[in-house]
Amino acid sequence: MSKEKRYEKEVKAFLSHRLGMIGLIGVAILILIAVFAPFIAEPVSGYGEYEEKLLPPSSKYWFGTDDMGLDLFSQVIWGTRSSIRVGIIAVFIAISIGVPVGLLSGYYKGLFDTIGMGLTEIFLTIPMLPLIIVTAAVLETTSINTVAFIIGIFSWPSIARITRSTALKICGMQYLEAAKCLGIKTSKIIFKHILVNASTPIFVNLTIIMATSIITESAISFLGLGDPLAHSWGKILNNAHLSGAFGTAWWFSLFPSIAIMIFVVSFNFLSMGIRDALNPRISRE
Amino acid sequence: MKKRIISILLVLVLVVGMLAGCSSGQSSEEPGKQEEGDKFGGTLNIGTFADPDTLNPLVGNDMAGSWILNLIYPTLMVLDENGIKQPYIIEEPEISEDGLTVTVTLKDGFKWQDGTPLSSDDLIYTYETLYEHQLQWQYEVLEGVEMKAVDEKTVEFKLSKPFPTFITTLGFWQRIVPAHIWSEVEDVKTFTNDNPVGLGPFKLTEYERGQYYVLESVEEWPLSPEGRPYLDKVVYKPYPDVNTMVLALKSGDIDLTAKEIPVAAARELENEEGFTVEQNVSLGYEHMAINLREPLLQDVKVRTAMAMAIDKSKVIDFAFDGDGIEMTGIISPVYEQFQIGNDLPSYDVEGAKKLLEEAGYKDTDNDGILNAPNGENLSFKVIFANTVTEHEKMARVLVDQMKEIGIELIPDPMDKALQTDKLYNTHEWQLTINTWGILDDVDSSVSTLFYSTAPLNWMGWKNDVADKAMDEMKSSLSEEITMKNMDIFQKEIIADLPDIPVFVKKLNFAYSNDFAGFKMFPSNLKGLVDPQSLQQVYKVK
Repeated sequence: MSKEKRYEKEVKAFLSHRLGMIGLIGVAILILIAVFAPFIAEPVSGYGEYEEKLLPPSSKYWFGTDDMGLDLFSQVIWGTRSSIRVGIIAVFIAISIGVPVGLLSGYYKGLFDTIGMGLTEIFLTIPMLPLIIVTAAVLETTSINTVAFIIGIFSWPSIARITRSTALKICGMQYLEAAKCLGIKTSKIIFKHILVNASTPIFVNLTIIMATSIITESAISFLGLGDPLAHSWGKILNNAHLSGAFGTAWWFSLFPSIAIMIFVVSFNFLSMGIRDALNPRISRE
Repeated sequence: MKKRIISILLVLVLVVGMLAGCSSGQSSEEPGKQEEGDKFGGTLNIGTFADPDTLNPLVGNDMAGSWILNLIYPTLMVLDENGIKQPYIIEEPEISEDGLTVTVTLKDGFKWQDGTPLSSDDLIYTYETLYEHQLQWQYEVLEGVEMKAVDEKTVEFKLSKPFPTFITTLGFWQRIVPAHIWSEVEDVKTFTNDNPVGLGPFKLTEYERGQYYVLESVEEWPLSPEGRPYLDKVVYKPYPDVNTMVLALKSGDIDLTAKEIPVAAARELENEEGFTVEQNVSLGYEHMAINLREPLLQDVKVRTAMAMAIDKSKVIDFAFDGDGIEMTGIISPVYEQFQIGNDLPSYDVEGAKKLLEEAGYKDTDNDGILNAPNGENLSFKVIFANTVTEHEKMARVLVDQMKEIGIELIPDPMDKALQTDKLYNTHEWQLTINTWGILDDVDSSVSTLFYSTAPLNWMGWKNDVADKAMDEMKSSLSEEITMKNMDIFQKEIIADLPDIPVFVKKLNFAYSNDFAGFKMFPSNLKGLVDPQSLQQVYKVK
């Protein structure tokens, strides 16, 4: 099958994947909101008017106000930005650690494999959240970037494993041995053959990392370890919890929760769509 | 299909279980044992926020522990409802004219829970142990003090220099332990005291860490209105999260909150039938302290401008839902006699800007933040404990207010232990938002905070005139001298501003109307769970 034909088929399979399409649309909308946030809502900071504390949703404040008298709609919209930023930073870090570790382990094997997979194993077995909490406490400065960085540091093992397994599989194939015999450069083998083949599962995994990173970010912010001035969804939930109005001001926690749900579901659906479209066995069915 | 049926069944079981759980909460009322009109009987469940650090009253110093230990071990003195210290298990102490001899006499009729009568030996043993092992901070009070038992019930203290608040400080803070039991203990510092034998309206009979602490009433307690507490039992249940504690109160799992509840929850409970919300005032205050070791903060004009930029009413509105009292001076308005007109700089944004401009601070790099003559930004990190809601909100308000005058504040929430380490040990901080806890006996307690060598003076404030005034206040035997030195002290500290006081918290506590007879004492350390309150609480029938 020619390359173009394969892509065509895969795109077709994706387009007919209902959940995948829902995910794609969801992600697209989120990205649009993040990019155009300044045109959708005025950013809020500090505190508002005392009389406007904890107002329920109205035509003026679509999502109501928080306990500092600030518009929640604006916070949720701007929260999209923080969330996508956290996701992208985390994904970037996960790739830049996971891929090299996986390649070294899978291609060179031996000592590299022992150390690389040992590290992966360690990071996979360490309970992530408590460690993140400790790291956040040690790092002291808690800007949204630090939080994203910490999440990235703990998300790479899955990427490393996938890259390694692809590398192992391909290294065992005859054409690669032939390529080696022909004296093709190692870098070319790694980039042209191994990485290209590993890119699909890595991409599927990245969308999952996007989704989990935002849950982790919410958890960190909810525990009060995030940036107090950032408008992230987790921080809004944390504020709602701290306000003591959890029971009465339902809008305070509802809207950020819905936002988190949409984000996570969209990325998960997207990853399902891509996975199914690229998996020849499933797309043929 | 099978799976679906099983899952439906599971859901049903869950729902039924939840309903059963809800209803059992409400119907847990025990039928009264006594006839109508009789107040005896009943169990009071109290929500607390943590387990006690320890049950050892000689080393325990945390609030959750105090609530339980105060019911079991007595102090010589207690606060009355107005925050004034009164004798509890002693008669009015006698202080000689030169202020050097203090005599206390125990009231009659008190027995330890194993039947041994309370005697002067117990007092002497407690204080000697305290001093010998340098426990807590109270041992410092005993520096240079000689004591002897005059008889079974009387102890005489000889002081090396006059210390008018000696007995109110020691008597209020230090719980007494039974000498006949504790003298057998190998190491009082590490003793866990798992089966405490105490003296108080209640005795600890059973507990499970993280679950409950059951205190049963004693047969005989002379300070209760009818000779013994009305309640059969008091049970403390820890709820680390205050929202959960409020829900537990609503569902009937607890009847009283020992810890103060958020203002929003208080407003909600006020409007609900079956609950009473009572308020008291903290005996300390919330403040922003300044590290005087930091070069930029050494300029008193910067500190003064910062104090002028704070709109305290807004801080109270947003950080504490309006339930606070503005601090006008360095001494809490709770203590009226010390409000002598030495006020903090008043809220004046324009004035603050002008002051900074005149002192040579200009925004030379146009980033919206003022620069010092050496080019550095007036940008400071403000640290606070991430578990204290009102401090986080206060930081958010202050960030905005400081921005108005061109000073940048960067909030830096952190673990309480890390904050403490920075303040006391490493001194690596610039600004901090914190609470001064209970400031009793103001004329002597100011020196524990602001004396140049005081451990709590982590601001690093050193002012010889103020030091001398604090020394004289502490040993003053006349009101005239006290007030004269108080005035000197206040003038010095307000001119220097090592610390910016902001507000005094009003605290809300809630209880179920199934119980009555509560008395409210100042501060959250005492509140509604002071032994003087619980010894007379009864179940309404």
